[in-house]
Amino acid sequence: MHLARDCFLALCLVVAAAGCAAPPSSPASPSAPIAVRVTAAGANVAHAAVDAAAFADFDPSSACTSELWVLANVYETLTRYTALGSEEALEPGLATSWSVSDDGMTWTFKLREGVTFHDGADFDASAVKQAIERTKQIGQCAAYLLEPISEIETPDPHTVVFKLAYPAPLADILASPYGAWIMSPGATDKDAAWFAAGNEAGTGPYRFARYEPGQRLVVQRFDDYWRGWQPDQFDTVVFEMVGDQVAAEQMLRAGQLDFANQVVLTPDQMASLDGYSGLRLDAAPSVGNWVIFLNHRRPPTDDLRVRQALAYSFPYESVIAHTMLGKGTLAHGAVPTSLWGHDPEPSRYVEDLDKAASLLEQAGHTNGLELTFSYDPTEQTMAELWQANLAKIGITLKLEPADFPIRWDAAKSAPENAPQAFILVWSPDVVDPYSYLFNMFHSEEQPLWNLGFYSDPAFDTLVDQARRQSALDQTAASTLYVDAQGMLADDAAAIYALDLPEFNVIANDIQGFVTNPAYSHLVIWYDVRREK
Amino acid sequence: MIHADYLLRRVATSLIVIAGVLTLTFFVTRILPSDPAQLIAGQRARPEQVAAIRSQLGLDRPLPEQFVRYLGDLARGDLGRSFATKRSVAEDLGIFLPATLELVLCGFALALVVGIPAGILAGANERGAFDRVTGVAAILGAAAPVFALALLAQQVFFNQLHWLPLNGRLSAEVSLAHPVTFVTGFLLVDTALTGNWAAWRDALGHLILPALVVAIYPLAIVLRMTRNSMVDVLHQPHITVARAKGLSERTIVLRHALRNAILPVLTIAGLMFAYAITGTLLVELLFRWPGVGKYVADAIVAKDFPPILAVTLVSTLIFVGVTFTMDVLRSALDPRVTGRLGD
Repeated sequence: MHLARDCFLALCLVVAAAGCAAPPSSPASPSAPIAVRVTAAGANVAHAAVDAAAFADFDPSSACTSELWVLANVYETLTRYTALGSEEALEPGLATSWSVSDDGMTWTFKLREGVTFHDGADFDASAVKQAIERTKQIGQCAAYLLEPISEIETPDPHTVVFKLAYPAPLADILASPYGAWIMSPGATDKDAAWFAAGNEAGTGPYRFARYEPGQRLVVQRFDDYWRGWQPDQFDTVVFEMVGDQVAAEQMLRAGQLDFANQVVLTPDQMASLDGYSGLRLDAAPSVGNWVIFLNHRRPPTDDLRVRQALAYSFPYESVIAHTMLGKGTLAHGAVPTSLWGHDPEPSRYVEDLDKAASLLEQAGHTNGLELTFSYDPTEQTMAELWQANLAKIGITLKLEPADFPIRWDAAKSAPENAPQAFILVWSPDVVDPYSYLFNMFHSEEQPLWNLGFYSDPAFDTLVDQARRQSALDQTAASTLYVDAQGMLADDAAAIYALDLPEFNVIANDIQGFVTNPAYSHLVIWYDVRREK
Repeated sequence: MIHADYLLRRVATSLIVIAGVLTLTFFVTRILPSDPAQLIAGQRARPEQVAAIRSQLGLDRPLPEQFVRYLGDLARGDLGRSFATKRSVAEDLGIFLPATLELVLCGFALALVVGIPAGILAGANERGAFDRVTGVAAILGAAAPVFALALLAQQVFFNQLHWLPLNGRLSAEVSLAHPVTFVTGFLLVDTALTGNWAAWRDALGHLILPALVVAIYPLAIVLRMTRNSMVDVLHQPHITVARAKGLSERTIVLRHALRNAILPVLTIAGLMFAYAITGTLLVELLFRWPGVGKYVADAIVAKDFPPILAVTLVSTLIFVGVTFTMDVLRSALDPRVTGRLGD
């Protein structure tokens, strides 16, 4: 009885103390936590969440992760990928037109006139040359994409000619958000530290206005932007750094953010925010896919029949139903169906446990098998669904969830001990079938992304040939890419679990947002408006 | 009044601790299976790019050689550059450390200002109503998980009452309209120095909830420690003697008992303070506070050595500094500490 009374007193005390500690009128008291968006007086402001942990390298030559969500609003590329479903794969950016020689070795770009960098420098051929050479020379992130370029010529201020060492689809490469940004000649001699301090020198619609490390980055409209401005476009975009999913969800529920993506929130959180507080969930196809590598260098997956059995054992339909909010789609092969060069036919591997069991028997595994599967903790549901299926045919799947950098490091450094199954989310650096087929299946002396350690010289030749072809004729290249995927299917090189959707949570009153899988998880704020 | 011998001995042991921590963290981080060159190059980089960076940074050199170079850099005050962010670690610490210190100092000030007097009062009235109430409250406070307190505080003061901001250190609107000039990194100090009162009020509003959450645990511990040690001292013979001499209870408690009772409390509070520098990660995450706990947690996940080494060094220095100060303080207050009793 005493205790009960004491507890009650204690609670009263805590509440009273807390009440005293708070001032009666707080300076920053938010309005009611409903769909009222925070705006500065008179200005048109948007707020977006960004992932605090990865947010730091603002050097356009080396930025490789979430910084792109900001940089894509500050820098521009010569060409741009169009959104899915467009007629053309590319649209003009800083270049107005381009052409390629018959051998695919010389690319000529006509540059837009009247474009200025944020630092006042003129955009011209020499700026392009210096920017691309800087990125190539720094050699970080996806700079290897620029490898085909052997020489850059500037016949006149508005023409750039790229001489290649071997044929490559350069117009596609130069649209990549990884390493194809054009920065001012005034910044090409600056080091990463200069950029990391919150400096930039792009041509894009927004320029850095204020950088508070760990807290936020504010960008403001660049008045001299070459496409001009309408009064209802956003003047200011505030990128709030959020390091925690709970904090991100609270801010969204309180109406403090207009946009958050899948890196900041889990799909389940996003589903719970749909329709809440003036927000909606936007789900769209992406160019990412879940690829489960099967280890070709380690028994028993070095046996084709075992790999085929595994491919027939995968619960494709129920994985689609129970993961990614049910928005994933059936994969046809290594190239997702959202992209050209994908296999038009569905994969020959469907869930068929009888077939899987008989293949195992043929391979002589009648007494069961034990395999390990390496995946991210967020992919637990998928792993367990597969595990349950495998148990039915006598295979024990040992689950080894770990954070990606750790398991990636372990797998690529010791192929012979690497897990028999290893899942990877592939997001292409250049939105081209080559990015998938080369990175994940081309023979590698030192493993990097080919984590099934697949190696077939005939496949390598075919893929390289397809790439050369793509510099000149996409349709012909597409046929070759489909053939290459047929070879992978013959070898049961990997399991394609599903083609991934992209999720974003966005405020209902933001109009004009179109997901572009090539620039995923971000908003080009110049293109959207707030509905009045 | 303090023996030089004792001081020297403490300085020497402090240096040994610092050297030990330096060596240990350097080798432990290097032994971990990770590749900083890959981190710098980014995941998409080809092996040739990674190899070039490895040799450029000397990461392919033998470990002892790298250690000597690290010590050399350190001696010149160079804490290195983060592999992941490419920013100077010293500059980063200049931003993130004051943020955490501001939060933790305010939290601890609150804990001491409330905890010690409340503990004295409770101890002087053993088993009285106040003692019972604070006893239960302290148990609740010490036992409640930090994240629960943080979420509860946000629910009450932001979602329900709308008195205080949800999270962050300064609101974007205030930061844009009244930009803060960076002087010390302590927002309340910087804004006061430059007379930026709009930002000062905004910063204070943002500080209250997280500081309150940081304060709860040390407050509970300090309160109970003060109370218990007060009770112990009050039962000792010299207090009985003082009572027999007819001194007032107030004089007994404040003059005779407190001096003895406060020592262990200060020691524990000092240790808790040093721990809180890197230990407020959850508060920093939930309140979006750009502090050093979050900074080093990110570095650990990314295996980004320079920030890990630098933060370890700084928190070791704070730890050693605090314990050293506490020991000196104790030796000033209590002659037994220096072994001078027999003199």
